[in-house]
Amino acid sequence: MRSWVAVISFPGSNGDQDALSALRDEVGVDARLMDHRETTLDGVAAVVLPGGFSYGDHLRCGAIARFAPVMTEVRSFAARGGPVLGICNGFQILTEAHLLPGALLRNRTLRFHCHWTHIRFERHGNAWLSNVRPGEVLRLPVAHGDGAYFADPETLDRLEANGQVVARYCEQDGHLSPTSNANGSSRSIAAVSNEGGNVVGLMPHPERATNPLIGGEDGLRLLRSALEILAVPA
Amino acid sequence: MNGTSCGEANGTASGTRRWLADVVVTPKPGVNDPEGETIRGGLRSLGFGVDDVRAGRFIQLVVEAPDIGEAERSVTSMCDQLLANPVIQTYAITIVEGEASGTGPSGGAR
Repeated sequence: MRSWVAVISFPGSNGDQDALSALRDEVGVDARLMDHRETTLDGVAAVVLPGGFSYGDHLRCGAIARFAPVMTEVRSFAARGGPVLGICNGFQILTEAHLLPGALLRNRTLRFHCHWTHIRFERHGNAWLSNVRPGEVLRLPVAHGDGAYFADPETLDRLEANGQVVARYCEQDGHLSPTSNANGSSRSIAAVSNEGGNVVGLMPHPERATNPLIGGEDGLRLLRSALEILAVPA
Repeated sequence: MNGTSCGEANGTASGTRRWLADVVVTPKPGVNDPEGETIRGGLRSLGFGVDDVRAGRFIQLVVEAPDIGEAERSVTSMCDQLLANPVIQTYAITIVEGEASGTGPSGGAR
């Protein structure tokens, strides 16, 4: 039976506890930490790759983490259609693992960005987007130094045509502007998915916006999709 | 524009030899390079007439291989699998026989 959400802990992850408590305490699903050396995903209904600085971000963000033993299992899990969500460093790991297209470059400001931002959803309907509508704007925090999404123009056109652009940085009212695209992402892209839609990566942190006490709860709009994921029999 | 230039392999010992490989990884053309732009701005403020700066990474490796061709294949594989990200970066390899001197790029030594 597939009944729980695995949050993977890499050496240097620092968003794993946030993701765990957001899913377990705020969303109310069975979520457990899983060590990066684990070699089976038996019983796992969804995988979350959390934020942080896996392996010190040496060489490139996420470049070393993709060789972690558990990533072999994550790769086949994703190929079978299993829902995988990469947040921040998790997004970087998924691009380095070629489970998502593109790459995350140094912010155009060369500064670490740690602030609240707005993202506008471009699509819905895949596993992680069951609770958001196209055009819906969420307010979420970002915390990254290498968050500028990049893909070549042909790839970007293909992503747009396939509906793989999940969300873009925007102003509060949803319109795009150079100011809202603070890190300099190609076409303001904040989140993308694979072709199947089951693998999603985003730079903002929904797990750090799950309660008004910590500044907002818009992250629950995304994370509550775990309830639907777990409700579907394997 | 990935390329390899190889120094003269003059070792005569049989079996494994040691090779010094210099790998330079740079952002592909068209990929934003804010670090390079910032360096260019700094150089210009010092009065240098610099048109373009691209900032990359230099990695020096000592590898064991029976000949320079095998060493080159090995380092190329390292670049493709880990040292460079083909989505955003390109790389160049220079290989000479010997070991790291710790004095910087062997290919550019004068």
